[in-house]
Amino acid sequence: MSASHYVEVARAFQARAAAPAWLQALREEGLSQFQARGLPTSRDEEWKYTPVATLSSHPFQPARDVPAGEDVVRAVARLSLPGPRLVFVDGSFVPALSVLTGLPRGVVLKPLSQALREDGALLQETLGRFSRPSAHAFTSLNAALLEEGALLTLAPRALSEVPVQLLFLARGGDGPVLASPRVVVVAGEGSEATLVETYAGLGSGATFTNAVTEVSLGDNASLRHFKLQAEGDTALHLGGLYSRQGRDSRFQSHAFSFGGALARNEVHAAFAGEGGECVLNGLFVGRGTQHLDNRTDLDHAVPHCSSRELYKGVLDDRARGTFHGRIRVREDAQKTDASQQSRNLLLSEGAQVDARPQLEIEADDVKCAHGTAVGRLDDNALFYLRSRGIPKVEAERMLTRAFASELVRAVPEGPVRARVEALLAEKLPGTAEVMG
Amino acid sequence: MSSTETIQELTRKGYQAGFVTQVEADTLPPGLDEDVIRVLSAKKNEPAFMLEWRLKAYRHWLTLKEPSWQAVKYHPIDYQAIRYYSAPKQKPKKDSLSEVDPEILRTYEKLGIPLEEQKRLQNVAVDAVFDSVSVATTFREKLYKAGVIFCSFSEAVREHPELVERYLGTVVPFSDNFFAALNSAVFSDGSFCYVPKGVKCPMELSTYFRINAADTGQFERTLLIADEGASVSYLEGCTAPMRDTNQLHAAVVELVALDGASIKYSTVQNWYPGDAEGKGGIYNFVTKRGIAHRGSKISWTQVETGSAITWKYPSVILKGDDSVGEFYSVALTNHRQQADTGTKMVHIGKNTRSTIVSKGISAGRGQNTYRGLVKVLKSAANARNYTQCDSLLLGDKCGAHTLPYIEVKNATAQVEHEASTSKIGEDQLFYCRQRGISQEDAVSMIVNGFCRQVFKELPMEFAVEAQKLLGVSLEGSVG
Repeated sequence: MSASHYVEVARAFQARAAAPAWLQALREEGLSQFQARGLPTSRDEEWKYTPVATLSSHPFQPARDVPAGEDVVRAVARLSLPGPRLVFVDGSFVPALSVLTGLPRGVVLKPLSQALREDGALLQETLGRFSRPSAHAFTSLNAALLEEGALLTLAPRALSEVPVQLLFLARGGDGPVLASPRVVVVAGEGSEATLVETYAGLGSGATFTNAVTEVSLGDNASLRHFKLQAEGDTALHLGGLYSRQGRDSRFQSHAFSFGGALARNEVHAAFAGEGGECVLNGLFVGRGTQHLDNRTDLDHAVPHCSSRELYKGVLDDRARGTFHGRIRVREDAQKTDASQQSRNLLLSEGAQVDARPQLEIEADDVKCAHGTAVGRLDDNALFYLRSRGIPKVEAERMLTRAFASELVRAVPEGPVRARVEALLAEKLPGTAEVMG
Repeated sequence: MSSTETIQELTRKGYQAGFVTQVEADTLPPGLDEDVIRVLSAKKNEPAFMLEWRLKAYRHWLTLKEPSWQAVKYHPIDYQAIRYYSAPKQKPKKDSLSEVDPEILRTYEKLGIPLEEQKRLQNVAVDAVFDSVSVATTFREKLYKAGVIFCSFSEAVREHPELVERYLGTVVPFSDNFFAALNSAVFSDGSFCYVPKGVKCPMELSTYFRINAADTGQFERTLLIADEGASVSYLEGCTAPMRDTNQLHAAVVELVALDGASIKYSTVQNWYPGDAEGKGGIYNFVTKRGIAHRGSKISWTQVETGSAITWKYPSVILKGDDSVGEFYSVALTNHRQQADTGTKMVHIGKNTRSTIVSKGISAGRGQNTYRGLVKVLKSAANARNYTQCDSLLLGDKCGAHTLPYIEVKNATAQVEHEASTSKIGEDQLFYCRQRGISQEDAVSMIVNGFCRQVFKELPMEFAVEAQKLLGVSLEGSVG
């Protein structure tokens, strides 16, 4: 089983899922691109440190029939925040558990399947515009299987104070399940919103989530994007976030990667107008034999933009972490101010990390810096705590929490931060009391 | 004068080592096949093992594809259009300098290389390589008394075949990469040095490389062995005439530091960089690597101002416990020069330490890439690395790229990487000018300050030369 399995899956899907001509064309293009590229191998520079052989371990299929049982109801109650939300199980929309009330004026949220029927013109223009299927095998696979997900549109100057949530639950049914959600955000001029994508696992079925999110920010728009990925220990998760920012817009991406046997989170951010600001934050915490991969790509294509990037990794047991971040400053992008930091903490002998921070600079009047560090807990700090009677295990825990807290505190106080703290506490026991 | 004009003024200054020496040369016709290698080996009276090794390397090379991952661009090289051997015609053996062609001596004199004994710098032994062969080695006797073998590679093959056979290809095997394989097949000469157990080499050793003939490739090979507890400091310098066509320089340098030994290897590379439009110049595709055994130290220092393209990663395999690797580099690209350089530090032994300081300066349309690997294997407990990469951009058409790879498989390791990119600030220039320092001097002062960390690692005479060289290469460039 290899790329050909996914090609067959996509063919079968395209044969059964009716679609308008433009969508059919998009899916077919995705399929042919995927076919042309095949699955990446370790010889592929982009996937040097991340073997995707596990993708061939199960015959993953899109789920056909997804009954929402008690377990789903409980999970939604546990994971959701107050406010509007869409709930998906194994890639299918669950209307009964979704909440569409409470959306401010000018803010429209709907499942993608509905939007494909109602907003064809808008989607035809936006889908695949920033997430060029040609550039990435899994983005093209997502396009080939494009059917469900969400569309969030913000009218000019619309303001959504409560966070909009998307909850993707990976349950796995009778067989291994493949979910390919696509999220599209179109933020009009001067609009402002917060979007929370939560990915969680239910049960122990084999699941593979291949998600793509596309964000278009109009001039002076502002979006805070949170991705909380806490799928099960056996889950496979590949996610790509593609953003494009208009003039003076502000975009923040906060990616928390806790779950999955293999999880890769990609963020591709691009400036299309001057004066934009971008924050890319990430925290990944791996235990057991988890492999957590983080890939960011920031394109300073125009002058006068600034970006701040901070990714931190905590790796215990035999977990493996990867950070590969690239900042490109194009020839005309003068007065760019970019900084990229990657910090990694190895907690046990078997843990390992590979880091590749990259700066590619073609303009001269810029301020760019990057830094990477890999290490263990500071011996002096440990000694300080232990000399005050704090047991070793507790001291280590405190320092680990403190290391992670920088990224938790970057989340504005409120229900989202509380949710992040809760997830982190599950991952790093005893975390809650130090946060805040 | 505005700062931009100053930069332009500075960048226009010419290449000063670009003359051609008229000497009769013994040259093979262009092209490469097994016969060329046999002729080459025969011309040099090599023992059978050398020819065998060359042929093995050649056959392996035929199976390899030229790499394409690098961040440098060049027209495809026609390996059949290169002459693989060119030697100045002269008496085959030189017992004293009086037998060396005076034209060649004048060349080195013009370049400021102290070949003639009375003019030489105190305590620097020089091996001069002209096109493909070594033409003179100075100070041999004094070194011989200390037990140090320092001679051309061809002589070493003839006179110390046991040492050559034992160490050749142990650090950079012929199968290592495309250019190393090519070099192993056709290398014509180079320097060889062996410092015996416990000996501290009494003087700086130095090789001066000069490409003179047209259409030749220079493929030299340097092998440097410091036996247990020995220490040696080695310098190399390079120049070439100005020609419109590109010439390939594919060298291999192997360093072996046995237990407790210390090797310091410094390079001032000033091959012809091509003209302002990028016509001509040397392709400098070099494989340099050292292996550090227990408690030993290998330190690379390089100042790369020449070559149309520089593509090399002087590396250290930190095999023994407590070994130390260092890499200090200044790479300057001006006009249309390209550089993709950096280092690899592979930590295998316990308590191994490495330091990387890289300073990249881009001017004109130059493209400068730092590419480095720090790899900490599972066995390398308490490994430590510190990396600093700074880029200075002079002009808005140039590029600076930083591509480090950090792979850590041991939790007790501590690895740090820091990089910054900046230009010379208007305020810095203003500060200098306000104190009566000319724009040009201010720029050169700031650039020198930027490189200070690396220059201070160079032996004194070279540090002075490097500063001057940087000044010349940059003449006219600040933004």
